[in-house]
Amino acid sequence: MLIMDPLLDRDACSPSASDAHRLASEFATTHWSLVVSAGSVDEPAARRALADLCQVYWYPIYAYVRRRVGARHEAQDLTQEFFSYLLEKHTIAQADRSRGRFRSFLLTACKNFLSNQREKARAEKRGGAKAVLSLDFASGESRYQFEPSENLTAEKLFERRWVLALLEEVLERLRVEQVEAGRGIHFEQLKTAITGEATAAEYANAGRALGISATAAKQAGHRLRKRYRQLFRAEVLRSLADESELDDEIGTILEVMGD
Amino acid sequence: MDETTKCPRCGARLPVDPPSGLCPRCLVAAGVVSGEPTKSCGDGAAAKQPSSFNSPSVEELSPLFPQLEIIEFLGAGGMGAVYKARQPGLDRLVAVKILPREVGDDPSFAERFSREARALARLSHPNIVAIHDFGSSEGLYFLVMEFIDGVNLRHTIRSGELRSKESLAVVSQICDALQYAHDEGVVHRDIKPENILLDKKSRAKIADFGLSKLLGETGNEATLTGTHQVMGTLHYMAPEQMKGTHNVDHRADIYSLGVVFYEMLTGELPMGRFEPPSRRVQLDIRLDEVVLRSLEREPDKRYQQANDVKTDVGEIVDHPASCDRSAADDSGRLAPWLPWNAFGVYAVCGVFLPLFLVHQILQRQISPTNVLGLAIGVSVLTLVAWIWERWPYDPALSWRSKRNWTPVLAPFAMFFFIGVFLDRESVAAWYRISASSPAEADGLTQRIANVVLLFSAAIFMIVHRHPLHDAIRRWRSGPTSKRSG
Repeated sequence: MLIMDPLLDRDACSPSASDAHRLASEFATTHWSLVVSAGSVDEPAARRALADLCQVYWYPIYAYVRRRVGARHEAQDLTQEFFSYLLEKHTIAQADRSRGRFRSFLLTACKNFLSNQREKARAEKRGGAKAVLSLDFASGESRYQFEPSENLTAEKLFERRWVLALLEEVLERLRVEQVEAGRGIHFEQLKTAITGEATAAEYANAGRALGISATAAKQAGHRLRKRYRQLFRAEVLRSLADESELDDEIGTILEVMGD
Repeated sequence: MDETTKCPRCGARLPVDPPSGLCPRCLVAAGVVSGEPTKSCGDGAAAKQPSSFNSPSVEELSPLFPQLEIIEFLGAGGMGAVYKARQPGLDRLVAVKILPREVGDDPSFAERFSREARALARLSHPNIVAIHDFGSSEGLYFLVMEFIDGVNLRHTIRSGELRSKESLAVVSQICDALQYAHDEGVVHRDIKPENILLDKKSRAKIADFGLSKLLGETGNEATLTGTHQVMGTLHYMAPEQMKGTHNVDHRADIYSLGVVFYEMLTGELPMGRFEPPSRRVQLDIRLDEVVLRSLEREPDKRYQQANDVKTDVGEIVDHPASCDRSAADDSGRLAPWLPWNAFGVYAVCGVFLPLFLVHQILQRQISPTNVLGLAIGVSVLTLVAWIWERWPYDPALSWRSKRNWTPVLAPFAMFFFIGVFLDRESVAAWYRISASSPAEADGLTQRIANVVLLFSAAIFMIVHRHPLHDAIRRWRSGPTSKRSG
C-alpha cells in the first residue's frame, strides 16, 4: 500500500530501504490512511488507529477548544465529547480524501463540532460524556496556563501545539526505543546532538558520563540524530492519508515553526 | 522555567514545556535537514546502511590520483569529503573534493555532480573558489579546487572575533561574488557561513556552488532536484525555497545573504519575529534597513540585485553616522556617550550662525544672554541627539511610531522661542535707538522675520545633521518596507 520513496532520503546518510520498510510496517497499523481507507470506525483496526492518533494529539485540540470557549470545565467537557463523537459516530466517512491529513481533518471536525454544539441548546446540561480516551485534563490545564496569550489565534495555537505534540511523540518513541535497547542513558546524554552539532566539549562530557571516548560519543550522537529523522518522517507520514503529501506537510510544519 | 528562555542555537523563544528540553524549532529542522558530516556515518550500526559514506583515507585515495600528492584530510560535509593535495607539476596546493562512491551508481547524482562542476567552472572571480578540474577516477567522482588557507565564516562567527566593520567587508565581497555569479546565470542556493571561506588576508571566498541551479537549464531541473525536495540548510533558506516552489531565483541567495549578515552582526539567527540587528547589538541603525530588506519574505520586496546590497552597505561604510561598534559580542563595549559630530554641527549652526545673522543682517547687539541661551540650547540638542541614537528603531512599525520625533521637532521649537525671546529683549533697545523712525519699528514684522530666519537655520542644521537626513535618505531609497509575519 505504501510507496516508500518519501521515507528515503536522497543524501549520503539516508536510511536503507530495509529500514524504511521496517518503519513502514511499524506504523502501517496506526496509519491515518488506514482510517481513511476504511471510511468508518466500524473496523476495530481503524478505530484503534484513530484512538491512538487522538491520544497523541488531544492536547492541541484541548488548547484550541479552550481558547475558543474560554471556560475551563466547559472546554474539558467539550473536548471529551468531541473525541467520543469522533470515535463513535461515522464522521470519518466525511473525511475528504483529497484533504486527507489528520491534522486538517481533526481541526475541521472540531470546528464543526463546536458550531453544532453552540446551535444545540446551550441550556442543555453538559457533562456526562462517556470518556473514550483517558485525557489528563489536570496537566492539560496547567500547560494551557502557560500558553502565550498574545496575538495567537485558536487555529495558530492548535497548529503550534500540533507540532509540539508531534515532536514529543517522536522523542518519546526514540527514548522508549533506546531504553529498550538498553541505551536509555545514551539518549539522555546525547539528546542535544539531535538538534544539531553539539560542541566538542559537550561530546567529551557525554562520553565521560557514558564511559566512552568523545569520538564514539559523537558517532552515537549522529546515529541518534539519524534515527530521530527517520522517526520524525514516519510520524508525520502516520498522520497523512497519502505519502505524496509528506513534503507538503513538512513544509507546513516548517512554516508553523517559522512564524 | 523562564518565559523568555531562548534556544542558544537558533535564538527562538522556547515554549515553557519544550519536548525533552529541546528547542522545537531545531527539532523540526533536524527532522528535515541532514546537517551531519558524512564522515561520522562510518562505523558500527551505520555500516549496516549501504548508503552511508566512509571518507577514504589518504592512503586509499593516493593511488586514484597519480597526478596529485594527497596531503591530508580536511573535512567532510554535505555531499563529500575534502582533502588537501599538491600538484607537483605546478607546485601549488589544491583542495580535492570527492563524492561518496555509492552515489556514483545513481545517474542523477552523477549528473548533479557534473552540473556542479560545470557551474563552478564557468565562474572565475576572486571571491569564488575556483575549480581547476573535475571528473571521475575508478567510479569516484572528484573536483579539484583552489585551496583556501583559512577558516570558514562559521568558525569566525563562533569565535566572536568578528567586528561589524569586518562583517561589512565580508558582505561586500559576497555581494560582488553573487552579483557576478547571478550575471552568469548561476544561483548558489546554499549560502551559509560554512560555505563562505575566509583566507589569511580576510578575503571571502564562496565555496560549494554544488546546489546551484543553472537558470538556462530549467527544462530538466525538476528531474534533477525533485519537486518538493527541500535543499540547502534550513535556517538560511528563503521562504520560497522552503515551500519547495519552482520560483526560486537569484533572490533566494540575497535572502540567505541577509541571514548570514544578520548572524554576523548579532551572533544569532533571524528566526520568527526577530528584532532588527540594532536592537540586539549596538550598530548603525541604517544597517537594519539593509538587513531587513534582504530578509523580506516576498522576493519582490527584497533587494533585486546583490549589487544593491553592496551599494547600500558601501554608503553606510563611507558615511558613518556613528562609530564602529562591536558585533557578535558587544558585551562590555559601549558607544561613546556623546555624539561629537552632532555637537559640532549644532554648535556651528545653532550658535555661530544665528549670532552672525542676528548681528550682520538684523544689525542687533548680541548680549551675553543670547550666547548663553544658544549654548544651552545646543547642549540640550546634543543630548537629544544622543537620546535619538539610543532610541530603539524598529522598521516594522509605522513611520510615526518607529521614531522618537523629539529631536526632529526640538530645534524648531527651540528656535521659535529663541526668536521670540531675542526679539522681546531687543525691542526696547530698538525703540530707544531708532525712535526717530517709528515706521521701521514694526515689532510684529521683526518678530516674524526672526522666526522665519531661525526656522531656516533649524532646517539647515537638521538637514545636515543625521536624524532627518537619515529619514530623507530612507524615503528617497524607497518606501519603508514592512515586514510581514
